[in-house]
Amino acid sequence: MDFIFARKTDWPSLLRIIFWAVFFLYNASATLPEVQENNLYARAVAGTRVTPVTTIDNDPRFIRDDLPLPTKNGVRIAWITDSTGVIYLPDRSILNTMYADLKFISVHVLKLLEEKRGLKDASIDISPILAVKTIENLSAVAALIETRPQMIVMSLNPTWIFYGYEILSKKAFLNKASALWIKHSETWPWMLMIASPVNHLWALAGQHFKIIRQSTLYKPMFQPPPPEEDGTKKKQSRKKISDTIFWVCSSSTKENCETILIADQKHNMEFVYNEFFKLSDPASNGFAAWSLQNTLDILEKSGIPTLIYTAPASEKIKKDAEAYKKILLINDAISGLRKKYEGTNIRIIDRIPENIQRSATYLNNDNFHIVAPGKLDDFLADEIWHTIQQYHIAEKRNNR
Amino acid sequence: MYDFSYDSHEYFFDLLAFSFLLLPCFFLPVSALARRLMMIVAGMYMIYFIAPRLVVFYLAFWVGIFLLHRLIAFTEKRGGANGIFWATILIVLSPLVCWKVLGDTFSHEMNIVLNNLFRQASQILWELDMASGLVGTIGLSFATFRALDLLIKTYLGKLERLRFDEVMFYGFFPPVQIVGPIIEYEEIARLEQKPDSQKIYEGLLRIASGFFKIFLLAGALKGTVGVFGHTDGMPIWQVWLNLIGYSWYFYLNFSGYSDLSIGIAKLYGFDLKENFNFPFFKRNIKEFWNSWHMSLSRFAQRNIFIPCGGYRAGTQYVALLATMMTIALWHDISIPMVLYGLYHFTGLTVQRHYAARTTTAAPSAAATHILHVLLTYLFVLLSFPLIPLKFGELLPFYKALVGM
Repeated sequence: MDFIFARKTDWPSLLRIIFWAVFFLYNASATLPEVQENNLYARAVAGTRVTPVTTIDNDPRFIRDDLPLPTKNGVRIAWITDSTGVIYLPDRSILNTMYADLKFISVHVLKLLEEKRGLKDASIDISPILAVKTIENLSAVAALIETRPQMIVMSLNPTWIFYGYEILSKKAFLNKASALWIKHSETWPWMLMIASPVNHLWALAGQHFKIIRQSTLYKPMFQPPPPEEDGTKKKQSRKKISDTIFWVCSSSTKENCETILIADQKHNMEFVYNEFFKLSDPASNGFAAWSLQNTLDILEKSGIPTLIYTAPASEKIKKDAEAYKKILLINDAISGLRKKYEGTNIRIIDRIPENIQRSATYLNNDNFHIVAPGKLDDFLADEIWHTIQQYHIAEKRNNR
Repeated sequence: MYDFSYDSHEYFFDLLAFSFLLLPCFFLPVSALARRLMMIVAGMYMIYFIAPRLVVFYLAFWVGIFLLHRLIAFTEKRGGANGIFWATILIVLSPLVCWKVLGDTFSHEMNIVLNNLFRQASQILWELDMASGLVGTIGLSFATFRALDLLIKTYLGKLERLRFDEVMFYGFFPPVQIVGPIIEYEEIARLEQKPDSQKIYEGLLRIASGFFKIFLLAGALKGTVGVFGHTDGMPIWQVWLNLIGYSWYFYLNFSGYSDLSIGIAKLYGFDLKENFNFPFFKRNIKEFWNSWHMSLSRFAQRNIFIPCGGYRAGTQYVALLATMMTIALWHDISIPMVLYGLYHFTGLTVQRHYAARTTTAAPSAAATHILHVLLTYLFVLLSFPLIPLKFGELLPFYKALVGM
């Protein structure tokens, strides 16, 4: 090994090493074969003018590279949502559902805009990040703003918006996040506090080198998928408990913690989310509240007409008096934000009317995830149309 | 139930990325104090990205070590020095022993207690701390033995009284915080004034070597870990093959991280001592332990073996036993590791007897050399299951090795 390690070198040699490393990265990026993007929602949007634009969980690019943005002509709507914007299968919990089985409420909404309002050239660029937390939500907003849509629709999930026990879950997105955050001074402190040095390096290098930016797409070529466990092994292995359950348990009594753990293992999301709710604090000055405020400030500064709605909840939530009380507090806090942003480009629906919420069909043991939208899609279509009218969006439609 | 594991490579990726900024700053023409402070802040910042609560933990740990170091130095020539020294050793060992004995319970409580400190101080810091997820006391084994080495040297008068920044620099020295090596203070006492192109080149090569070992070589063998506890119905040859694969996985992973630590330190002008020297190619068990996790062996030799009379005929075996048990229990306080220590003590004892009875001979023929290497590797290989397996799982595994 001496011929490598004992070789004498000097500063020009080191510069040469750097040059060749950069040269390799450029050439590798230029000669990489094209790899198909992961489009797990293809079935959900087939034949529609809805385009899922964000990458999947472990892919840090946020926005897919293969989409020419703007994706379509006409009235372009960017829709930022999470699992509450998705329609599930009735016989599965949200944790057992495959991507291919999901549908989007926005597809229904777009169809209604076309049929009832004659808006035949509207399109939706949807960012459906399941289980999105407050930091990812802001980053999705920042990413979609860059595509300059005519309008933004954003859903607020009452479970997470004031929930400080889990402000971030998809850490892979941090690799791109700092490139988004640097454009918004509200998030500059986050560049030191949340994004690590390697996140910054990835964000910087990813902009220039495709081989780095698209590394997730090429991973399956080098790393075969893990072998499927056989049935006996599956029985032996216990489901790993999430970190958020740990923190929730640490704030609970021992008995309550055991109940939460059992509910989590059995996918009783109604109980689990109720417990999360009770720990939300709309009055706190924590990170979740800070993040929501930053999100709204960024939207306001963008000047893009924005409709924000709070995701509906099932009547079943009233069975837990404490959780219901908390959701009313959350609604009040959002109502305060609605008043604060009146007269700006942001319209906030702090609470979807009760009859609309009741019309949707929800998953068993779940208060927020729906299997049928009921009148929700109609309601949202009307609100979107109202926003389009209010801000004369149709007159500013995109024409290429 | 809860997952306290952490992928160490994330730390090194962060450190390397941060080095783009830190390295030029480190060689600015400023005082040594300023440069040590840079490294201290860098070390803390790197730990912050594992979990902010770990910064609190290690800050308290190393401040405590500084105070104990000063206490020992102060009482050096006074009465009661002996008692104070042993009390400090027990104090320093206690977090490590608690962690090894209590396992996940300790990690569980550590996470809650430290997180609650943030809750009292700041809502934002509290929520940020929770966002980093659960962690174990990563690097505590290495930190404890580094601290012990510092205190023992202070007691023996081999180390002068250090300033606060010097102890914190030793504690938070970024390249070695997570996976060692267990460096001595003297290895980083001197700060180079200017960057050295040769060292930077060697450091980069060493880092490349580390990544190659970890991601390519060890990565290819990662599946062999699954053999432990899953040997039912497995043919003998497959059990052996997986065990051999595991031994190489363990070595490549561990030595790969040592390469990263040594390589990164070299970028900053520090020449750390080697930690591995092709241990699977040694002719006897003594040579093996002189080339496997050498920083731990060196620690054990100077702080256990020699003081216990390792070079005296009457006490050499007691010293040897104490040394091997220290090395074994450093990994884990469990019955398998006690067996591990006894096993290697036996091997070393036999080797000593054999060496004492063998006169110096001409270098052995190639075939004999290869035979010695294979036998030594086989001896070491048979002790590898003691590392990952619990006591109740040992017999079934060793039975599987012989087809029972």
